[in-house]
This record gives sequence, C-alpha cells and structure tokens, in this order.
Amino acid sequence: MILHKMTVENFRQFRGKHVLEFVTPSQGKANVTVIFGENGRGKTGLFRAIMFCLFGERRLSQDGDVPLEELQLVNISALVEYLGQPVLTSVELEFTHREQSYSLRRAIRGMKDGEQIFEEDYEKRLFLTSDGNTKPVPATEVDNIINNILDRRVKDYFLFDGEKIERLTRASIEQRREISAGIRNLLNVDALETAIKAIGRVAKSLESELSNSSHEELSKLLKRLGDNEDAQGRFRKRLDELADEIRLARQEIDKTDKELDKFNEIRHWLERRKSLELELRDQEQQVEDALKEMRNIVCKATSLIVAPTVIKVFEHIDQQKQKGEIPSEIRRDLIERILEEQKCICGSKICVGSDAYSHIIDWLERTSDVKTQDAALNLWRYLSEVRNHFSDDADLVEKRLQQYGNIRSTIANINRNLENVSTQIGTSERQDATKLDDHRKLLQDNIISLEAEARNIQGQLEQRVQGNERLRASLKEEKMKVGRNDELSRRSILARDTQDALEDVYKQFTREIKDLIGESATQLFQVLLDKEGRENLRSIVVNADYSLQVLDRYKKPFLANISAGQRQIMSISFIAALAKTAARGDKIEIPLFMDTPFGRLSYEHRQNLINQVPLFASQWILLATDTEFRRQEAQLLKRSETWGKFFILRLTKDGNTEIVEQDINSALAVLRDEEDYQ
Amino acid sequence: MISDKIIEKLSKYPDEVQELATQAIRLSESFSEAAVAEQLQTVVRRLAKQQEGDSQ
Repeated sequence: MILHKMTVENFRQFRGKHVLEFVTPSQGKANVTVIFGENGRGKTGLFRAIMFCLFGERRLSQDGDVPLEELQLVNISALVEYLGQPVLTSVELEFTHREQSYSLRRAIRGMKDGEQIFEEDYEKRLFLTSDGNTKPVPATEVDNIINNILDRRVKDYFLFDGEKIERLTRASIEQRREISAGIRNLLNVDALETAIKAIGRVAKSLESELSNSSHEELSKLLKRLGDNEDAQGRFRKRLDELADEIRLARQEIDKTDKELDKFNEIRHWLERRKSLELELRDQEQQVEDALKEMRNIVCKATSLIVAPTVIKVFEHIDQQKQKGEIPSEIRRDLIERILEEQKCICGSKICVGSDAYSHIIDWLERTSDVKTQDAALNLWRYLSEVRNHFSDDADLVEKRLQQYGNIRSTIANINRNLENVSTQIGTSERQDATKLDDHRKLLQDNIISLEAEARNIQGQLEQRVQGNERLRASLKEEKMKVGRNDELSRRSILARDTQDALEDVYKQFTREIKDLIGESATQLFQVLLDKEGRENLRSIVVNADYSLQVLDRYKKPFLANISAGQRQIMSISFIAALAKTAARGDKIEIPLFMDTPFGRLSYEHRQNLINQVPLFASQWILLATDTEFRRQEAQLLKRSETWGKFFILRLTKDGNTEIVEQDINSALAVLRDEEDYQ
Repeated sequence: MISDKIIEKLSKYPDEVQELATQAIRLSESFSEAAVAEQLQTVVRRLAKQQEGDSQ
C-alpha cells in the first residue's frame, strides 16, 4: 500500500479543503514526507484523519476513555458559522496497492444546536481503478477490501503514535492474542488455518458415520476422541472469556487510576506504582518463561533422582568386571561341557566327587549364563554413558532453579515495594482516594486469580492436546484393523492424516516465520541502536505467543531493564521485520506513518532512524514537532537524499490550521537549532 | 496463492494427503470453512476410491 494523496475538509483544526500529496517511491530515491507543526497544530488530527478514513475509527489509542461525544471531528468554527445547519466533514485518501488504485472517501455530517454538537455518518465510498477502468465498490464490501489491504488488527503497527509504540513490548495476554491473529493474517496463514478446520470437520463427520457402523473398540475410541475435543473446545472458550474479563478489569484499573490521578499529593506514589506493576509483569513473564524451560528439562531432572542407584549398580557391575566375573574368564557353556564329558580341556579325566570336580562346580555356580552376562555388560556400558551426563544435567537444573529463584525473589521485592506504595496511597487523608484505592486492589486481586485460572486451563488444554495425539494414533491403528478394505474407513483415515499433515506444516511454518522475524528484527535493532545499546543488547526474540523479549550479551532476558527509547527502537525493529517478512522482500509494502516518533530518542537513535528507515520502508510519513525535528535532524535527512516533501501546519488568523507545502531546500530557515531550546 | 514453503513441506507426505491438503488450502482462500468442508467430501471420496484402485 502506497499513500498518494489525502484531502481533508472541515476536519478537526482544518477549516475548508486541504490537500497533502505524499512523496511516493516511484519518484526516485526520495520516499520521506515530513509534516511539521508545533503542538496543537493538528498533527494528531491528520493521524486521526487517516484512521477515520481507512477504518471509520474516531478514537485513537491515546484518547483513553474520553467519551466519544467529546471526540468531535467536524471543524468547530465551521459549525459556529453555520449554526443550526449541517456541515459536511470528509477525508479522502488516494492510494495504490498491488498495481490497483483506490480512492476512499468517508464523510460525516455535523451540526451545532445551541451548546450541543451532533455528528452522524454520511458517506463511505470506495473507487477502484484497475487497467484504466474505474468502478465503485459496493458499500458492504468496502471495509472488507480495506481490511485485506491493511488488517485493522495490525494497523497500529504501521500507523502509530511514536511515543506509544513502545507499548508493543508490554502487550497484555489479550492484546497479544489480537496481535497474533492480525500477524497471522498479514502472513497469509489464515487460509491454512481454515483448511485445517475444514478437513477436521470432514474427518469428524466421517468418524461419526463410522461409529454408527463399526465395532465396539472403534466406537469407544471415537467417543473418547470426541469427548477430548469437546473438552478442548470448552477450555479454549473459557480462555477467551478469561482474556475478556482480564481486559475489562485492566480497563477499570486505568479508569480508577485516572480518578486517583486527580489527587496531587499521591501522584508521585501512583507513578511509582505504575512503574512497579510494569516491572512486575515483565518479571512474571520471565517466571513463566523459566517455568517453560524447566518443564523442558524435567526429563533430565528425573534421571537425577535415580542417580545414586545408577551409580551403585554401575559400581557393582564394574567391580565384577574388575574381578573378571563379568564376563567370566571361562564361559559357562565350556564348564558345562567339561562337567558333562568329565574331561578337562587338557585332556585329563575329571571324576565326580574329586577336588577338581568340586572346583569346577564352584566355578559354574559363580558364572552366570551368557545372556545375563551380555545384559550386565550392556547395562554397564549404558550406565557408564548415563553417569557421564549427571554432572552436566545437575549443573543445568541447578542453574535454572537458581534463575527461577532469583526472579521469584525479585518479584517478592517488587511486591513488598508495591505494598509499601499502596499503604502510602491508602493512608492518604482523602477518604475518596482510599476508597478508590481499595477498589483498585480488589481489581488487581481479581486479575491475579483470573490469570492463575488462565494458566491452569492452558496447562490442562496442553495435556488434552497431547492426549488427542495419542488417541488419534490408536484410532488410526484400530481403523486399519477394522476396515482395511472398507471405503469409509479409508476416507476417514485419509481425512485425519491430511489434518495431521496440515497441522504439522502449520506448526513448522509459523515457527520458522517467528524465527525469521526475530532474526530480521535483531539485524535492524543492531543497526538502529546507539553504541551503548549495541554493546549491551544482543537480540530480539519473538515468543510463541508473539510477545517480545530482548536478550542481553549473556543471552539473558533483559526487557525489564531497557529504557523507553530502547523499547521504542525495539518496537520499530519488530514492525519493520514483520512487514519485511510479510512482503517476502526487503522493502516494507506498507507505509510507515509515525506521529512524533523522536520525542524520547537520543540524537544517535534519531540519526540511525533517519538513515535507516527510508532504506527499509517504501514510504515514511513523519509527523514531527519543532522540538524533535530541528535543523540537525533536517540536515541529516537532506543528506540522505530520501526527503521528498515538506509540509508545515500553520496557525491561521481564525485559530484554524492550514497546510503549507515548503521547498525542502528552504526548510532549514523554518527550523530551529538545539541551542534555541536551551 | 499457496506459499512455496507450504508446498515444499507437504511434499514429504503421501500423494493423496498432498493432494487433499493442497485442495483444502486452495478452497480456503476463497470459501468459508463450512463450504470448504462440503467440497472436500467429494475430493476425499475420489481419493479413497483411487487408493482402492491402486491397491488392487
């Protein structure tokens, strides 16, 4: 998707019609458009315009819980001038995607009546131009087409508020689920998922036919499989419900925090609590990761339980080996032959009852049979190998336990600090603050128990999934036995085999994609980080649930300790890697539309972004304030030869904003130096 | 459009499984889960008959 032109009319601060023509990649090396404006000039208004036009959304993530009726889109001065009459507000976006041109227009009508302002949807229109022919798209299909071009679940990855993007690294369980669905769509694995479900449906219906017609064992297995799958469905449903409940509780906490924020005397404590809670969530994530790792090494750990017995048995056989009892110096079959023939190997006769005969009987009793000896020797070899691993395994287990213990003790510390902070907030003289805080505590406790339930159900679900695999294997065997020549069984086996194959391919494919995104994000991260960051931080890891982790130079999780700026760089690296992977190429096929991205970044980080983003993004639209886009940044961008267009958002006499295009060669005259702010 | 990677990964499975899986993905690109399942029933029947013919 490449944005060509945006026209806003009577939208927010923009009275009348204003046009922005973005620089597009077809115009040579340049692909960066800078829209510059001081705070309050309408940068976020333009960001809002794009979100409104593409997705019909009026609320941005930064709006929090501001009531929708307060988020007016129609220009106020137009409403005042035409008091009591409708004013039309529209945003029109022209863009291309995969060699097709689109023109999307969304409009609303507003009216001011006394003190009240009313707004209503007016128009949503999409025109598609392909091979020179333009045709309107039916209104019912518009949202679907736009969603296929840019999935609304991942829109925040590409059209974002720079300072808020670091939240990507702190995504909650429910956000991660949403993100993962969006990413899967972006990577085109939706069809694979539907295929798995559809073939599963076929297999189930064939099995239901089979269970009516075939024998008892098969019916039993089919019933168990059905029960198991039903249980999985119930667990998944409950997990979704829990995610919803957790999301609502978090929203309620945010609301309560906003209320509490009004009490100045405890504001400091509230901020401290927020940062401690974020730290706690990071640590809890680390505990979960550590537990997962521990589960993986549990097989090795169990072998340590039998270590003393293994060593004892090994030493016993070894002693016998040293003594020459195993293998015995003389084979048992040879002794038996001597006794039977009563003749020594040297030829002399051995009579029953003689000393020699008694000695040989002694030998026979001490000598075990060949099979036992071979088994003992094999056991000796095996135990010798196992014994060698004990020390490595013990080290590994100890290391993991220590790591787990450290995280738990950090969590205990954070909890102590949190309790202290809560006491400070709770003992505030303001009774209403205390009540709010009690309410908050209840919500927080509720979240903890909901998350515990979610973890428990997740564990049960995993067990059921494993059980399913075993049941399917038994079922397949049974089907083969029952109906080697039966067509219904063959169909059923084929359907299940195909479902298994597709599930297997899906697992491999998504794992590879995640690794690929991780590698690509790491490469970009290394290029975008400043020198200090490069020394301390090594790689970005995309976890199974699409949460992110950063590893330090010792390959230890380090996310909890990185700065907000580094989180921002990490998020941008991930976004770029994700888009590159989806595009299966080097360039991101989606525009990066960033609102005030430099605020928290050091100069070196800004420098790296300015030099690198235009290389991996096909289009970069930058909304920047005067404090973050100064002469230094402009000079850098100019030198890179990627800067194509420059717009200034200027205050008009009537308090609105106009968009003025400025030649980039004269941009420096408008901008200020860093010193000007000191 | 099925990704080459997916086709490559499917290639290690028996011919009938490959064919059914490929058809399932192709159909899923344009139809709903229920519609795909409906159409796959016919494909499964054909492939099972084919298997029977091959084994005789």
